[in-house]
Amino acid sequence: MIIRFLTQLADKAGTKELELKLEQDITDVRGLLNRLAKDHSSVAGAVLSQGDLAEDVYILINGRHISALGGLDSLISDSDVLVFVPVTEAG
Amino acid sequence: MPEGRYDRQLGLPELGNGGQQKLAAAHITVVGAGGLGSSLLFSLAGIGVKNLRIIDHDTVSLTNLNRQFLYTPADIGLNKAEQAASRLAAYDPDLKLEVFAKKVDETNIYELIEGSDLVIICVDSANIRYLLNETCCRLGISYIDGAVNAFYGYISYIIPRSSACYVCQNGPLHHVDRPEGSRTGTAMVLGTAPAVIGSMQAQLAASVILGCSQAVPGNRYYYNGKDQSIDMVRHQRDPDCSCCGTADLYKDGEMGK
Repeated sequence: MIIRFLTQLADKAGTKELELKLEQDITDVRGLLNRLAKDHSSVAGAVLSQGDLAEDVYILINGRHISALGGLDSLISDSDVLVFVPVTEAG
Repeated sequence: MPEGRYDRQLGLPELGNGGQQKLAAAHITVVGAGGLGSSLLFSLAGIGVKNLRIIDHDTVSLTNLNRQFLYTPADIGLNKAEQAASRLAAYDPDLKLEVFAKKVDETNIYELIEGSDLVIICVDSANIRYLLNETCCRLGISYIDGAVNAFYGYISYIIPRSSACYVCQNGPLHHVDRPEGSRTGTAMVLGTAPAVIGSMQAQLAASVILGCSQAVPGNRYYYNGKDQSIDMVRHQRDPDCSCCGTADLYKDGEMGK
């Protein structure tokens, strides 16, 4: 799967994009976050807080917000494009 | 329209064949006259948008002056919408300005944005963005969103019930609800970032009015002020969206419930 990081998340992660082959036991977003925490420390540092998705980050799967898909239980596959988006609100 | 003022753009085919008149005739409402609003309003007035409604209840403070170029130290303590209008009127005396020194809320939002051809959101409150999104969806008014953080920001053009809306993009209100200003009130922003994003909002607005925009409605365009890249992020409309989907859970003012 393709994982993209936007703006400050890309700066923190040290990359704008990561290509991952999902292991068979990873079927949802929660499993992916666990894998990032285990194997990709710089990426995890950008998007996770104490192992959970950081409060100021949200996730799109193929252009859909995960709240519309099942939250952290949203199913994922190798053909998906997942985007980590920083909350941006100041005017 | 004073002869000569727009000579440097009238040679563009998009402007010369009636385009300048389209800009002059458009009624644009700008919600928020802060960092984004400063460069946006000057840019719109500069290219010949003549009908501007400016909404902001806030007053100018010293800490605004790193990014809010509409104001000077003499404006501190005065209302932003009124001072912005004063500055813009000096820049172009032909402007038709409507000023609302009011805080946007559920009781006045229809009155404030009704009749607009386009709304441009420059606020620093997620709750107000949701409210504006809901109202624009109900009234069928297209809008341009924009926001900044540190060196970064995004713009997006929303066409209600056609493209993804703010709820489709961000998730429902309860997903992010928080006390007013709890995150953005003291957000760190390099003063140039809102100038860039406000100008991008103005450029997008001009393209939309002129009918030559190639921006994909509902998508977001993220600007990185460190490497100067712009990344487009695709957003799909959610058919079950609580605002623009068929369920419409925003009926009877029960926003977010």
